[in-house]
Amino acid sequence: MKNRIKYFLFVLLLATSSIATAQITEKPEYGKFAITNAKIYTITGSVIEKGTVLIENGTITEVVNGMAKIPAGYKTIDATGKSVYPGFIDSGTFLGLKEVEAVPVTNDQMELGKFTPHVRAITAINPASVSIPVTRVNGVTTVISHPTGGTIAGKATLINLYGYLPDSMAVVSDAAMMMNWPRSGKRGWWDSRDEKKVKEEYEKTLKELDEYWENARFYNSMMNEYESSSKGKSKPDKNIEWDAMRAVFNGKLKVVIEVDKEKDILEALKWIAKQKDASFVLSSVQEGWRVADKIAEAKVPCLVGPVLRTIARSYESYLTSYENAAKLHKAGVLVAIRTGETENVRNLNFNAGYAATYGLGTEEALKAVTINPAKIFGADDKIGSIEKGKMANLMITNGDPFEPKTTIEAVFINGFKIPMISRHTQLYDEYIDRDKTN
Amino acid sequence: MNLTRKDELMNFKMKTKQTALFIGFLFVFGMMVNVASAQKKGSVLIKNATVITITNGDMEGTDILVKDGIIAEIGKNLKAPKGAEVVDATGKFVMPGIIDAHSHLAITNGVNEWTNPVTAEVSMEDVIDPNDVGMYAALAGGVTSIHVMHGSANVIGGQGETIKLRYGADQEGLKFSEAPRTIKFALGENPTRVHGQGFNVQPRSRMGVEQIVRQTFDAAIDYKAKRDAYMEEFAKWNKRKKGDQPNPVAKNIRYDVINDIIAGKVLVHCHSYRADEIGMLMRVFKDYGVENYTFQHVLEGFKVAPELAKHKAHASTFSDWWAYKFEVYYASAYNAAIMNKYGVVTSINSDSEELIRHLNHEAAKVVKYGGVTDNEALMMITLNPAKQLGIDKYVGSIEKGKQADLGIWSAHPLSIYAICEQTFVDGTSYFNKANDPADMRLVISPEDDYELVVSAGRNNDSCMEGVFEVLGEQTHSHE
Amino acid sequence: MHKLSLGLLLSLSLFSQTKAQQLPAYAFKNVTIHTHDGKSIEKASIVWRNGSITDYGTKVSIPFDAKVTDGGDSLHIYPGFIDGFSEMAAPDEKPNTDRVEKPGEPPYDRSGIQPERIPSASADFSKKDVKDAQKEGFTSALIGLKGLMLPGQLDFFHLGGKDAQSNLLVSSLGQKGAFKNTRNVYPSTLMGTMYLFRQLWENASALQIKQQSYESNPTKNDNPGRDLTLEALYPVINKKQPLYFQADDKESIERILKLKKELGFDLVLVSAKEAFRYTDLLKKEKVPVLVSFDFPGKPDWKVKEEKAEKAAKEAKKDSTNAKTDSTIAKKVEKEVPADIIAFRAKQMSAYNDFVKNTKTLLDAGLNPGFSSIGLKWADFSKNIESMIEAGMTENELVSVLTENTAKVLGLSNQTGKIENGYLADFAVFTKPFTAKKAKLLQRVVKGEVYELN
Repeated sequence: MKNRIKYFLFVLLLATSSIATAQITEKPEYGKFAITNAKIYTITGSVIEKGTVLIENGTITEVVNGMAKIPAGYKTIDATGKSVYPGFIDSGTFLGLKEVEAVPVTNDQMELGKFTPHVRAITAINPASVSIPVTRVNGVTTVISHPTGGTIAGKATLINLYGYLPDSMAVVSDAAMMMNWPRSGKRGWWDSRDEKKVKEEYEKTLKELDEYWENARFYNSMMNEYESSSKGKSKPDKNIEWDAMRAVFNGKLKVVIEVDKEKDILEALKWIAKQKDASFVLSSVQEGWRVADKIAEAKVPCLVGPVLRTIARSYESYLTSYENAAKLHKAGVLVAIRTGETENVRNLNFNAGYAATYGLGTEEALKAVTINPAKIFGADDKIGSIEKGKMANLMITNGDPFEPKTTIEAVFINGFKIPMISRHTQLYDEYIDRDKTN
Repeated sequence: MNLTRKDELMNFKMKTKQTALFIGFLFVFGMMVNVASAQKKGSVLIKNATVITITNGDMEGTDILVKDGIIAEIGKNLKAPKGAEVVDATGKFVMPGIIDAHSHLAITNGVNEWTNPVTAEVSMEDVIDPNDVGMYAALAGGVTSIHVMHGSANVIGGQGETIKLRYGADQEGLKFSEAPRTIKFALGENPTRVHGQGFNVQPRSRMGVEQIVRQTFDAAIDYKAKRDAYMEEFAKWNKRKKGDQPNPVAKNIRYDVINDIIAGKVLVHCHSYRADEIGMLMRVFKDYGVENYTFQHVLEGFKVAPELAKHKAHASTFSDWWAYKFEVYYASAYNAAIMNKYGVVTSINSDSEELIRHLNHEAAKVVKYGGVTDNEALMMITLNPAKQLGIDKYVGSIEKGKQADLGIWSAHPLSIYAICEQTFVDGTSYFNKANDPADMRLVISPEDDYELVVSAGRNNDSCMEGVFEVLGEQTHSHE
Repeated sequence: MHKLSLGLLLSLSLFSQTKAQQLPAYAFKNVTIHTHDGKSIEKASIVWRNGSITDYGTKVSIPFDAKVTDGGDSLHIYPGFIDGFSEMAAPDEKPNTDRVEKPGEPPYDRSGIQPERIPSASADFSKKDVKDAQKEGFTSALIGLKGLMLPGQLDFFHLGGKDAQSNLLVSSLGQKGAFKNTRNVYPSTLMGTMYLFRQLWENASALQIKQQSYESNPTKNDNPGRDLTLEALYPVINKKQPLYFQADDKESIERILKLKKELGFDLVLVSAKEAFRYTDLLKKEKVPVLVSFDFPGKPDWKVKEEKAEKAAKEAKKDSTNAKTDSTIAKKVEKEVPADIIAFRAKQMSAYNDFVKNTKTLLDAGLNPGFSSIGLKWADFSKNIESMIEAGMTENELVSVLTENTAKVLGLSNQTGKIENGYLADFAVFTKPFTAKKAKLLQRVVKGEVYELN
């Protein structure tokens, strides 16, 4: 079937099939595509006003200015007047881990315990989550989905939003070790804890963290020694938790610390400075703008967001949450944008749009949802820009993807041309012209 | 203060010998109240903007002349009266002040009187908090009026209050005095969870929810007959005070409100999600003759859009929230567009102190999800909520004679790049980005904590604020 | 109900013998008497008999049967301080969290609707807070039980002998009220409480009529039954008893005034810690006020700053150690970001408003009395010091604590002043009471002398 298939044919198809299920019955297309006459936002290079993108079996094989020679067997998609962007990347979500927030059994983002570095988000991703198609039709193709809960919560995963098992969705199966910095001070006017108790709890958690880190570090060096030469040594028992931390100390796994308050950010930076054998990223960073210089100095990247959130302190300007990302970027911090969402990760575009409007600018905001997160999670060889040799994660739009009125017309994930169908569109199709008497 | 209540109070004050004096005092107080909470009514000339009127198209290079809080003239090359401020809006867009039909800002001590499934007797009017800084953030997003509502824990909740964001006024001064009374109903998971599951009190099921409504209405109607009979008897006796005083049927404030709903004096706003319960209420209201009501959230409204249209029921919904509860799992962001197509008066609301800051953006999403026109989308945050709140005679569009609630934007408000630059209420500027002092707190407490940082998670269903904590459930995950 | 006959007073005093036997009369001589109009009479004498003042001044002839104490020109006699609204002696009440079958229809007491309760039945004068009040010079207090929206009646007691009955002066002087609610039965919100005030008034008014009708014509009317809770509201509804309502912020005051307009009761405002925001409203509505001396503590950073300044000053005196000078000075001048400075300025301004609250009420001509509600007795002297530093005079303070309070309570014809015929209630200090190191030496309560341990 040709790519130029009209939307109402889909409607007909769907109208005749059983719509009550969550499943998308349409299959994606795969193979060889040529997107022609498109304005291409490469991200890593300059914008190509009118060019061609060739995709073959999941990989971008060519990105050229003007017309390219289109080999035989390629499906042409004429993108005259349209734009091509890399698929957007959300640096912090619970997509696939949570389904219905109010129904606890459907949520798998949190394991019990203060230190659970060994649990892996990739294990619990539900590839059939209803929210996945809803997200990808808006042009968000790839997300970090991460555990939360204790001080060390487990391993986040970087997944494409198409696949039947998490393994086939994974771009980086274990993308980062998630940490939650303890929160100093009260959480809000409803927090009835004693001031003293609050301080005690904070310091206790920091102490436990240091202890845990030391033990895990020792375990790693001990195992390294054993592995390099086991002669004359008895094999130490495996500790599944500390074992999961080894990748952190061996430089293979970055640590993402979720932290919001100015005071806590400074504490975290001080602590980070002491850990010479690991590499860190901050997440959420609500008050990052207050200490942007210090974060830049420490060369720690930031996963900023949600941008659309209420302000932190009652006496600060209403603009602080919108301007946060821009201020961090201006200070020299590498900024990626996250929503922290589950079923509305599709609003990543608009979080980035607000960051763009309030100081970041469209160009930098685009980077914050493409190449920047790709770099941060060590996947910039595969995704984050439209370059020859990279994975075919991209979208075709009729305008600026940050604008709500822009239509996302086509989405490719790992070379699969995704059906632009989700529960929301299915329900639209069923009810826009419902049988009125029944 | 509402005239109906005043009348009834006066009738009841037969006991005191100072009845006449009391009535006199009341009138005097009424006048004093008006003076004390006098609204600031400004005059201003906004020049050379693209004026989005909502009812009469978009007009480029147009001026708006405001006199004493009312839009006096819309046209080209208007002249400002002496002393009036002039705002050069060249290159800007002016739209009506945004109206949020669902908010829980500015409430003191409790969004939900959640201890009983029916609480028509309580009212937001009594508990407006004029010092909520959240109102300023809303002004900064171009919002000028909000519908402050009771939460959704009860089948029949409390009465609401429509206020204008005259930030700095006292609680009386915030009230949108021309607005009709409103009341909150709630169907589905919230009341069955709180009362049925939480307190072991009906309703525990959607079946029970219907019967609570019917039972309450029936009891109110029976009471009214008895009370009216007594009031008649009393009026007769009171003329000469001869013979025995009739035995009083005590005024039942709760049932009085229900009877006011039936009489059309109180507009119902009903929290609802599932198509079947939406249908249920339309059926029940038909039986009792209740009209002109609005379904809130109504995420499955699109499934019964023809029926909503037939009953002339209105809908106030989110642009794209869904899936956070099971009853919204089968929802669609195309909800508003579909209902709109069937002629249902549809508005987009926030039910959140975060969303209220960018309702212009929420409206833009309705264009995305279902292809409504720009004007239809903007109507959903201006004239349509005004209709649902019964204030469309006064606000909701830029027309001569309407109140000057206006927002000046740097670009078309449906663009992600649009910034609200100035917001007027009654012709007075309450927000001006060029002149924005960061700290906008109205009341400073010496015990304020400089270090207090609130990292709000997303507030699904602000309507249930505080209830879960007392129910002992964990609501906010570590997001 | 407000006035107490002399005969009754006499019989009461006969019952209130503590350790010592009552002598016919007593006198202080060579003392300074601080009268209510702010004047002080030096080298004066005062005589009292049967619990009432009989003579005072510089030209007093002390009767032969009066036991005389010579003040040696070093004692200061003030009218005994009156606590116009207090919870001292009231038993602590644990909140009842038992499950109620229908949280929306709880029994009256669970909602905090207990206007029938009488403090004299359960007040315990051996409690620590009574002793604390006595130590500060208080000789009488209007006391109510602890609770929620309508905790009960207010009885006026002397702070003398051991038990409630012997201390009781006036019963049911007023009804106690507040915007207080529990969390798990109706009302669990302010709006629920507002509604209940209205509905209770309706129900009580209707019941009163029904009961009167039945009483005058039992055969023609159904017996309406009794409801002790509603009946306890009749005096307030009939304006025979004021509602003493505890509230602080402007919006709460506006709300209780709104209810006053709607329901028509007499109102006394108690606590009023933020009165500085609404003195005009109080004047316009002519609301009598019993103000609390409680205010928030000085912000931590200010306390630290003042300590550091003090240390710096002292270090300067001892100028041999130049090094410590500079380090301390540096600590004081440590750079503070601009927005913290702005925040702190607003905070201090708010703090000062709270400290000056009582003075603001006085300057507005509102003549507030005193209430200890919300105040920890340990903070009483400290707070008075702050109030004086901020501009209050001792005379103003004494007026608030004595004459003004008596006036608000409607007892200004019998107490709150040093005047012939008035109750012999005095506080005896070693120095003018606001002077540094002034100590309370004795209290005279209803004519009986109590030494301070």
